[in-house]
Amino acid sequence: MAYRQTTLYSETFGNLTCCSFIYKYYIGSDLQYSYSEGISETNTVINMQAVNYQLQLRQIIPQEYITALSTHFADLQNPTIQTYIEFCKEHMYFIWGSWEKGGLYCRKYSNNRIIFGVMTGLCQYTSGSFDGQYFFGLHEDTVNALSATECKQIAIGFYGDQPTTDVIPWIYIIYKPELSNIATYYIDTNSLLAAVYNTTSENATVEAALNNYMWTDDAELSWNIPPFEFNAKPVQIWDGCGVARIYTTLPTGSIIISGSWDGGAIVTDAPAGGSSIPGGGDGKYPNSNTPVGFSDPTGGVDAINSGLVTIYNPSKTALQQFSKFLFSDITEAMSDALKKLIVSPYDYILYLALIRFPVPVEQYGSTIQFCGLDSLVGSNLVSQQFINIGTYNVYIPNDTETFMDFNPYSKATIYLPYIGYKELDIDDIRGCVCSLQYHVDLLNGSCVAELSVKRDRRVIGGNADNGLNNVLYNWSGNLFEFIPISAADYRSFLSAGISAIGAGVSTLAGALTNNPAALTGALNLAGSALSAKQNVQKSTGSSTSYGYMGNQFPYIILERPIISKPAREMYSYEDEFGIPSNCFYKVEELEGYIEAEFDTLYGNDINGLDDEINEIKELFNTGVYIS
Amino acid sequence: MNLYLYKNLLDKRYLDKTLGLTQLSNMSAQLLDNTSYTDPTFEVSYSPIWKWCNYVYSSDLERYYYVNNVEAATGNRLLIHCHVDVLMSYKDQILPKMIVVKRSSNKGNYYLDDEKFKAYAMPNKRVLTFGHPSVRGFYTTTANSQFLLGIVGRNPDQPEQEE
Repeated sequence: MAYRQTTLYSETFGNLTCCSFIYKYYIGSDLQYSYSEGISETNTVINMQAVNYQLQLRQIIPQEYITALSTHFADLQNPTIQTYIEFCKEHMYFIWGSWEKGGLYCRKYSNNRIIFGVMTGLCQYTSGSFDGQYFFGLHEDTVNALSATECKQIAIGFYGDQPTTDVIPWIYIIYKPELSNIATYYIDTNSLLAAVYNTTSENATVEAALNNYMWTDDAELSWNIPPFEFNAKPVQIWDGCGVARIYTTLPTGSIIISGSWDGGAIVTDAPAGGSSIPGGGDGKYPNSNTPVGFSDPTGGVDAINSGLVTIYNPSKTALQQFSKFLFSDITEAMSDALKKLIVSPYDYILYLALIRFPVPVEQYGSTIQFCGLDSLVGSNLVSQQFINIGTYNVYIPNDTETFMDFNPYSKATIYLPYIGYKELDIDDIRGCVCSLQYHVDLLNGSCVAELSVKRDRRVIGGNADNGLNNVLYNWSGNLFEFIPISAADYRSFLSAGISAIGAGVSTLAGALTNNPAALTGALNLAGSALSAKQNVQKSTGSSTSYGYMGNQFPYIILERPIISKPAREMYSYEDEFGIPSNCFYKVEELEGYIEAEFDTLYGNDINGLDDEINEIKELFNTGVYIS
Repeated sequence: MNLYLYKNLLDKRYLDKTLGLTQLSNMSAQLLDNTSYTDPTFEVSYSPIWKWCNYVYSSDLERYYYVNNVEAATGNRLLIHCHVDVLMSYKDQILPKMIVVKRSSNKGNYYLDDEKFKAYAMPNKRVLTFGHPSVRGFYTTTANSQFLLGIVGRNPDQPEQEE
């Protein structure tokens, strides 16, 4: 079984546009599903642009944008809405993604056309069913912008919640033309079908692609002439998928969507002829994998509910007012109360901190209570002690699709806000979606960053595993920029900062270490080029305030060798040197250059002299050409 | 015995050299005493064709041979020193044989370690950023920074948690 991803393909065609998508889903050579559909767009040019979709560029629209846009998309005078729309327009997303990779869709029109559809999803794939998927889309009349619907195992992982949710998923995209007409753009997720109605004559850009490694390369985009014509009067035809289409006069023609995709693993079975047996022989090679998801410290009993601690989320003005309350305008009653209760006001202030993330607040318009006194200073109340930040996602593709994508040839380092640079095992993340989530204790700023790794099942050497869906890494840090509010506070604050620097220095020398030695007997320059290079510590850690001042977005640094292969017209490296195989084959099944493991020319019935047979084996071991 | 003379243009490592053979002539020859089937020396009459011949077939021995050297002998004779081409001679018996393929042009797997791959000293390094978070994320600018103030004691507005 071979899986490939397809690429986006585009072509401009005429003033009257009509396109249909035909795609085919293969497993091996068996056609599993074929679907074709024809649509037209009234007076709308469809420009289909070939773009290589880079999954790492995929952006997820913040939830607040989606919530606002889903109900206020028509309010173009609202600067906030404009900002959100511009954000969407800046990014070109594509509708495709695998279930694991998720994906987004955004269609960019000319400036006086706005259309965007934002869907994001990342779900788990287990044995053909899908769990835990979270998808949402924008609807023109949506009440609930979040909809989660189970979908079939298809390349397109986006769906809406109307009109049917149990058969064929589909999705709406809001189309807001310059005029007041509202058109809804449907994407039939089964068929790459796009239909637009009530449009104007402005150019429209449609991007669509098959982005899933389960799919073959080819997707045909062709016209389909309907049996009837209309005089440019839109007629809606609803198919069984709940998709509206408009047919007018349709041109003939076809274009082919094809190509290869940069961003997904190509999974291939072992070549026919069998696979090598990896030693032992009696093992059962279990492939079961227990998904380990993110921890979730939120929702339970916490310090805030204890009644002994309150965390406020005051504005700058409120904080200034509270300071004034503490240190001036103290009435006699307040003075008496304070004398009875405390020695120093600081005894009742746990901490003051700066943060660069949103916190959940329970109630607006509360006031800061101090020692039983109402300061009358308004402030939001933080509603829970533990929160989650994220989830950040990124897909790590197989760059070379060779052994060099993995240890010890490739390396990966992750930068985590408030934690710093940490080494990752590249073997863990290749071909996987990495999801990052922070769990934060708002009582003291401590955090745990968890990195979850997800990938589809993989077939290697004839054995299929069940994929990966596990938290493989966690690191700790602190997200607060503590603000000392007393001299004692400041001294300990400074001391902590110096310690952090010192810790960095003391480990720096030790950090200049070589990677573990390359595999014995292996690799040529390929092995020495990267695996012997030194690891250099990239940061001293991000404790205390360093995290606040550092980058606030995580990223992964990938490092891999640049392969050097001789190549010339009519000659290829593979033709001259072959590549490792480790399979059983008959000599007649092979072509080009081959080497055989010594003395594996099975069969004693070559009617030759002993010396001749030995020479045959020697030649096969050192390399022969099968023409 | 009869020798068929050829000019061979293919590398010795080719299993089937048919396409690279150009027949030149054939002539009778004698197998010298004390030479083997694998490394025979044939005695033939002088002929200028031996200037081009580097490959022979002996129908009597049913083997193909590389011509390693041609040596002049008395009586206007030549001595042809040969070594057996085991691949071509036993081609039909080799082809159906099963082997464990170590390297192959068309049946390989790039995910198996390959010591012959070379790489440049400078690696490729690139950065992949995570996408925007799905729910709540860090503010990329300090313009959105906030304060948190922890104070001992309960705020009456804080809802009580249900048992």
